[in-house]
Amino acid sequence: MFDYEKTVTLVGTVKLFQFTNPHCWIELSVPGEKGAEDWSVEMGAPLQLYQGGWKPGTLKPGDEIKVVVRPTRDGTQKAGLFVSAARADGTVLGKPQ
Amino acid sequence: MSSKSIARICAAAALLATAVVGAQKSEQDRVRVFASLPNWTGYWIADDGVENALGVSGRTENGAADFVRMKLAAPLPYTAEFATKAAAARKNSRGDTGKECGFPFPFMMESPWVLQFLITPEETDVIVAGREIRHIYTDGRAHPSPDDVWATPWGDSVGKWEGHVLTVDTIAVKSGTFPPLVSEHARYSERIRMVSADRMEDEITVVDPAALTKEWKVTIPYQRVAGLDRMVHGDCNENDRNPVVDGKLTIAPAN
Repeated sequence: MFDYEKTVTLVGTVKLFQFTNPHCWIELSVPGEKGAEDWSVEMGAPLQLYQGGWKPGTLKPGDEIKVVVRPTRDGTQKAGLFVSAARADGTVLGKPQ
Repeated sequence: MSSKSIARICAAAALLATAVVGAQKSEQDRVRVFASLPNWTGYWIADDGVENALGVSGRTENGAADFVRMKLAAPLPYTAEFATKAAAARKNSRGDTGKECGFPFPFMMESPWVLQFLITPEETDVIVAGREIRHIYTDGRAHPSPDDVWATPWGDSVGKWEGHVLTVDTIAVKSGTFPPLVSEHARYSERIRMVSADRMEDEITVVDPAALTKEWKVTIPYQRVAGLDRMVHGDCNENDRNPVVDGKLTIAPAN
């Protein structure tokens, strides 16, 4: 589903952070030339996030973040697999991996 | 009050006193047994648990193929007949669109999830983050009779303590598609022990004349999980946003 040869860096505003099973998700509004695009960023299970230093309150709607993702192979969906994330001030989210 | 009535009351009081003393003695015995059991508190993960490689992204490039790294997925000494069955079962396994909704025994002992040992004098429970649970009865009971036992993904386990080593005998494990692929007649013997403050191991011996030409032994090492202060369980149904469409995993919009 995801292209492990590529990464895309998204800079945008958090609309929703789902700390849910089986996977957690960040819904991100990313400004573009033709207006804002909504991206879905897939993450691991809550256990994996918790072990990685993430908690349900780590992200809130309105937070400005930069997320690196692996995009979908066919590019038909604005979605990606989480690689790393940082706040606007550069603070890395979660524990260093 | 008649002398008969007094005698009856005295007899009842004596019985009650005996019962109370018996219960106290039994409780003291239980506390003594409890105190003799090892302390395996904390959370553990098999060294080969692919969880270690998943990280926060939750997926690996190879997906299910990573299971081949597991000790329980090692080649088995199959009989010629069962080798064919096992190959067919592997072919019908999950593939790239499969979803994890719980692991059977013994795979759960080397799964990507953390696990916990809950020890009481009567039983030791293995609780896995994927919400699988094994009850290993250590109260001296035997397995149910052959007429009354039925195969389940976790089997029927009875155990006993040899010092701080928990020896376990498991039967009636339903045959499935997770390794090791053996028959429902397989018998599993385990020796679970702590080998150092932060290391444990489970030595598993599988005897299955219906599938294997000889017994098969594997040792799964565990490491203590640092920085985890509570069990965080998994659930494959809560918010599944990866529906399979036309044989491919897709991404559904957020609800």
